[in-house]
Amino acid sequence: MADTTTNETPLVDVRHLKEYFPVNTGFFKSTPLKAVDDVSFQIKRGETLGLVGESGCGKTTVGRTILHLYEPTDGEVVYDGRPIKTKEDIKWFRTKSTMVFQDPYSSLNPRMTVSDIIGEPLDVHHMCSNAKEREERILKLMDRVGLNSEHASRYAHEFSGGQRQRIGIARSLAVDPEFIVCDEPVSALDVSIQAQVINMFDELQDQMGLTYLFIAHDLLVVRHISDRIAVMYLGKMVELADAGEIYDHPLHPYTKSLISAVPIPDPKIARANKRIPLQGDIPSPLNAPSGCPFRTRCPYAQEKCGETMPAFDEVSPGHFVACHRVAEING
Amino acid sequence: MALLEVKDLHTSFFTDAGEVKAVNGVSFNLDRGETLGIVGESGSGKSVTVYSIMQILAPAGRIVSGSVKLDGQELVGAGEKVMRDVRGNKISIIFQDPMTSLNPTYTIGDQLMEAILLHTDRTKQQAWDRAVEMLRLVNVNEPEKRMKQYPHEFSGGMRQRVMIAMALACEPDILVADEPTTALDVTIQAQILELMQKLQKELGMAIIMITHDLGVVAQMCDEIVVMYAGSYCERGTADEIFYNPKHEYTKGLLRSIPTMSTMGQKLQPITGTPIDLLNLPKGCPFAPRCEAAMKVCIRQAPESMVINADHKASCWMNVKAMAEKLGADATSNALEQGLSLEEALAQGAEAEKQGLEATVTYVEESSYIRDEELRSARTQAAEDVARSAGDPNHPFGDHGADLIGDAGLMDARGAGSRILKQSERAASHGEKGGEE
Repeated sequence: MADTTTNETPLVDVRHLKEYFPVNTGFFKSTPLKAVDDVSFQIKRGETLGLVGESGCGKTTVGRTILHLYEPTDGEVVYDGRPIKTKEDIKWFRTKSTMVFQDPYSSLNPRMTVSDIIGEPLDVHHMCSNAKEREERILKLMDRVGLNSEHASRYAHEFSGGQRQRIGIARSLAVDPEFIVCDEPVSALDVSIQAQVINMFDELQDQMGLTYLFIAHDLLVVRHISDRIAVMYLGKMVELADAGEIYDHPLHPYTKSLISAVPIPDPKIARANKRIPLQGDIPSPLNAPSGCPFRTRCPYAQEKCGETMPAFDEVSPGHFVACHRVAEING
Repeated sequence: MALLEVKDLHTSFFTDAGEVKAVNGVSFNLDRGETLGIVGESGSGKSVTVYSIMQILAPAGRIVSGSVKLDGQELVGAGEKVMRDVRGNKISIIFQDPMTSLNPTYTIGDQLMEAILLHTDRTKQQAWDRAVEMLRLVNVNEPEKRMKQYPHEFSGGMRQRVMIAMALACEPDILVADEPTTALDVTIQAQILELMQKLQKELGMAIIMITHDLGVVAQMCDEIVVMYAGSYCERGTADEIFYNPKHEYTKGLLRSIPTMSTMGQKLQPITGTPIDLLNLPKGCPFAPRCEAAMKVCIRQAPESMVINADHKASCWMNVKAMAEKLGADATSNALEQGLSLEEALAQGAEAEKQGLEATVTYVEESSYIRDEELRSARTQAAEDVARSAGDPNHPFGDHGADLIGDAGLMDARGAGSRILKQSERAASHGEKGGEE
């Protein structure tokens, strides 16, 4: 596997990450579900890496496994030069990295007040020496995400979806992190609220120098916010490039099809848009195809695609693709 | 005559908390073979509009007034017998969630045949054949085998195909699609949308497409209705709505979505949160969130105004623009005729006033206000809102406060401090609010 960045040390270095879940497929029989299968990538400090793919492709699992919410089956995560292995590493890592969850309704405890929700990470990591300091920090965080101090004693159900997501973001900022995994943070929100939250992510990044792994299925949102974009299919990474590059010159047949399927909010472009239709559905990850996972739906599939998984190669500077026939298709 | 004529439809839900006006005066026509998109955020009343047309509202909901004509036949008050014949036969619906809209205890075949047996004279065998034919039409592989399977054996995309097959089995004139692809992945969404377009070409039915996704609308629809808080803001051809929006909400919506060209730029969100339908304001429902709101917007709901043959909108800004144009025309006319500048300006102002009076039924202390007055009116409103929002139980008495039903303090603070940036209040509230 090739090195995916230039000389500078990446903030997050994911190396051959694997996450298999055992699934009972019969009496005393279990088959591994390969949710993430040998994924490697790097995120530079201050960068936003977008991670896209269809449901079930393993993008959420990648995010959670990086943060060690799931124990990786294999592979390692190196954060700022330090491999995350022992319990101490994980504890340290979690003061540097946090997560914003998709569903602002189920990710907040309905029995806790806003100040307790936001303060919980501070308590867990013993980051405040006294109650006064804790309260000050909580109010500062609330102000940062545009919540008023009077909201501190209220419960989550008193807020709208957009405001709940702000609470979730304030909680993730509590430990003063450098790296945030954003797992579909705007997909549950209304269009007009989405833009407010996206802008907030932008502003927080500018102010605090944050690094994001931004997971989403809405490709227009991802393109808007990301510096680089990675595309996953069935637990494998198939393409990784700069955001502009991947939209203008997608190389993998799956990426091409995915991008052509995005409905563009502009009637003239939408009518002229040539879609590259995909046949059928995404196969079950329990019996993923041999070799290249995309070959069952790929219009260019050949015999060799069923034999080996193509390597994730750098075909032009910063543009990585895993496809046997990338040269022929795009030649 | 249009196939479906909806005129001034009002639907309310009568709940313990009061009357929720979910649909407030929606009108549109739909012709054969046409695709109409209804766009809006959640709670804007787009689903309730079509549920009202089909009369499949929840028990608390009732059509308060208005008319729905299908092929010239009035459906409001027509009775259950007529409606049973209409539903599934003349108008069919596909629901948003293919996971829950099929019955898990019956086979796909049983469910497909139910509608056919109910609405046609076919025998069971003929209904079976018809169902298989329909599955083939929507590109389901091995339809005979699939007929005997249960919904859990189907993927999301496949289930939505079954729903489409079911809806089209009786060859309806109108297919209502209520967020048909929201629960699906983009590549599957593309398949389903393409299928719907293909079937429309083959079978010639009209489609009403309900969605919040402007991309889907741009791709699918000939005509678009934009809804906000139960009222319709604007309706027109897709090109008119996207390239020549004439309602501030539509403009805001189009500005706030990321597109291919917004990379690296700031989005321009619509401030505030959607309004509480229990506390609808007197005026335009969008006024509390509208950057361009005028005094008249707060006081009186705008009527639908004709922009051109393909386009209608309900927004006072259009009246303002028209009156100003009349004024400007009159001024330049007067100048050309050799009048002095002062006289010309006076004539312009007079023409502007007359233009306003002609278009606006409500002219009191000049209904729309110049920038200075406007600023103070908005400041006043924002102050009121900010004050009342501190207390969720504040009795919304004054006109500023009744702007906002769901008084999120944050939104009010944002609105307040944006306008009152220089004032002490904004300063004490911190810079953050101002930036919003």
